[in-house]
Amino acid sequence: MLFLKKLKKIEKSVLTYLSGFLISLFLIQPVIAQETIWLSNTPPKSMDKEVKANGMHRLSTLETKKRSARPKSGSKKVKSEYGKAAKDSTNKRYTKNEDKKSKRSYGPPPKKYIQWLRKGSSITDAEYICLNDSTNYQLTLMSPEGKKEGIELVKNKTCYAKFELNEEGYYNAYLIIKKDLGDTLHINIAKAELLNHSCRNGHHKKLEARPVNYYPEITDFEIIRERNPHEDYHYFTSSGNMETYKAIFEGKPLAGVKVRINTEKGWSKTQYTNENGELSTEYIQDYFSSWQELNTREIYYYMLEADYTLKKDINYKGKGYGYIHYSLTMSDGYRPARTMYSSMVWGLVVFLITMVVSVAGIFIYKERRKRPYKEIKFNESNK
Amino acid sequence: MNLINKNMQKIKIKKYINNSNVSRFRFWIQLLSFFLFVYGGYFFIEIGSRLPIFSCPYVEGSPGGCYLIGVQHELHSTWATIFSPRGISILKSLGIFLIFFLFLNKAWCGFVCPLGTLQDWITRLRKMLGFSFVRYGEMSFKRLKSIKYILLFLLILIPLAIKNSFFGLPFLPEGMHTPFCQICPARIILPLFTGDTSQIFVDFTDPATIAMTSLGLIIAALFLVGSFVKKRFFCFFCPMSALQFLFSKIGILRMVKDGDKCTRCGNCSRVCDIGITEIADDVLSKNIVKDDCMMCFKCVEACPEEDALKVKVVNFDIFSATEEGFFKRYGETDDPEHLEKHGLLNSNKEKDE
Repeated sequence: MLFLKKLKKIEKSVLTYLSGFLISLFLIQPVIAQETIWLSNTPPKSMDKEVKANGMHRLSTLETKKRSARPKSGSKKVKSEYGKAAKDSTNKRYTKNEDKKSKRSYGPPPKKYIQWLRKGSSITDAEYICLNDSTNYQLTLMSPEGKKEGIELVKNKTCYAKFELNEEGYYNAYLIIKKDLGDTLHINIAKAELLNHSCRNGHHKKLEARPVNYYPEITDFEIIRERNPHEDYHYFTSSGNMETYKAIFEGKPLAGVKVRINTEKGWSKTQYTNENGELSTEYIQDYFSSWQELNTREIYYYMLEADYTLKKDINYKGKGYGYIHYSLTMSDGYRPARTMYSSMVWGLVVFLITMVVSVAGIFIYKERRKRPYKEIKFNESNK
Repeated sequence: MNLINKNMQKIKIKKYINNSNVSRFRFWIQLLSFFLFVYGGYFFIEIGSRLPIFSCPYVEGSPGGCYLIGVQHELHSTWATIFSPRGISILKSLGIFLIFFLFLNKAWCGFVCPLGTLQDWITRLRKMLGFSFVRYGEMSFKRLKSIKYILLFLLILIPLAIKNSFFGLPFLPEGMHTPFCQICPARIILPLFTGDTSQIFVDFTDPATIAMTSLGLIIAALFLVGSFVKKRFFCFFCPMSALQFLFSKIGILRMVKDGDKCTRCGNCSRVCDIGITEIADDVLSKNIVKDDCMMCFKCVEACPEEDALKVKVVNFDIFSATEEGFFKRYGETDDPEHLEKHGLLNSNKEKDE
């Protein structure tokens, strides 16, 4: 009897998980595949001219051609191309009259970094989207120090998240959209990890590039890219590199999470996280060219999608749900592998040849300057 | 009585310092500095990124950055950027560099620079192996010393010419950004001390980077061979040394000479690792810090004339040449072998080449 009871219990739990899996597979996944929203660094073609890639990590910024004019005393408005920005409450620092205490009342405004909202799994074909006013979303930017920073969603022809990066280090941007999918609450977390570094600022904080920040207070479910042992602010993911990602749920590693990586070149791979919540993947070298044609500064993009369904009864905005489905996306760039354009063998050859030639040169020079011993005898008796 | 006691104590301390072996003190300072500037970063030490020495950021454990890498990055800008408020950062960096520089003057090279220390260690190795060393002849010395100014000029000009056109000439290729770092031996050799061999490579991105990275490896190899046969081989061509000399007059650490007390015995120039002859020949200048000087104070140690050479902090004497100090350090002997060991004798091993 006891055995039968236990069997029934196991059967029930298996059925529950199976039903969850089937719901996820047949009902949620097709919807999610279409609905996956992610933050992209690539501008749409219509904004190509306005956008400038900034810094060594080529983050998109809005092109600013002129700096704002120094406001004349007593003038009511700043007559510059930043006039619009001056009216914006978040940009008070540009106007002398609005904020007299501001130290930087004129000069170039700080750079505005941009991340676009895109939908779909294909990096090349994903459409640039805008969120409806009815969409329930939360946009957050966390500084390397773990403080909340200003970020706003601009709704023009294309939607984009606009923000400033003032500190050196990794910023985390999150766009969290909650959606009702019948019995399931769908939470789309679009994450972007943005490294702000300028060599102009020096390299004294380079070791600080290593810590990974994640924020359970913002999102329960998160994927982080683990840092490589020798990683610093100059680090790039490159094709041929092994990268490790970790799924975290409520601050703890989560096993069995399905993660799919799509690259701009069309390469795709699906893996599941292990018992430590980790998965390692080698970005295959997905393009080949002779070194004369290779643009080593070219950045290609990849997008990582992670799905996790949790069977949990929750109440959200007055409606009860039996499941929560997390759908997380994270996009970043990768560069050609260093091995494609640099050679240690050639380096050693040049180094050793120079050493051998210079040592031989010095030896020959010294030998040639040696004079054979000559004894000069003065015959004093002749004098 | 108290005043007399205090004065007596002061005299005792001064005598102790003047009789001390500064070279030995320098050896330990160099050793500590080397560990600090190569491995300090592993202990989360941060010193600054505008240092007047080769604290190379390419070294993983470096706790800071050399000023030259910063200035090259800052000048890799258009004129519009340089003459905008953003250009203030260039002045700010120079200011930070000068603040560091003010304290030790050119002694940064003699006491702290890890690349300088490495050259001194190679010299020690050569001595242990019993190989002879070379000195430049007078003409070669004069001709070669201008190289560091040319390098300094180029490291300023090239980053500017990448972003700006001079006289309508085409822009220089991006592959030449941070030109001095690409050819600096510190970038290739210092990371080896942390087990990092990743800087030994030829970059085939474009012809400019092939040329620059190959040149860097050639210079690194010449650095090792050159330092083995010539004391402080690279310091003679170092653009940091040239830059430091431009500001050396404002440094609070000074080295002065009293020409009236100098007998022109030549001890000072004989012990000089760089081979500066003016230090012995020039009896008119008070400030004796020359552009190639690294303020190692070997010359002060080797001077037997009372107060002929002095090391000062602003106007306070901290180390002076004394007869007693000279004999304590070198011993009272005319034995040629002993004098040769201390570099006080131009033996047949020491050739002007």
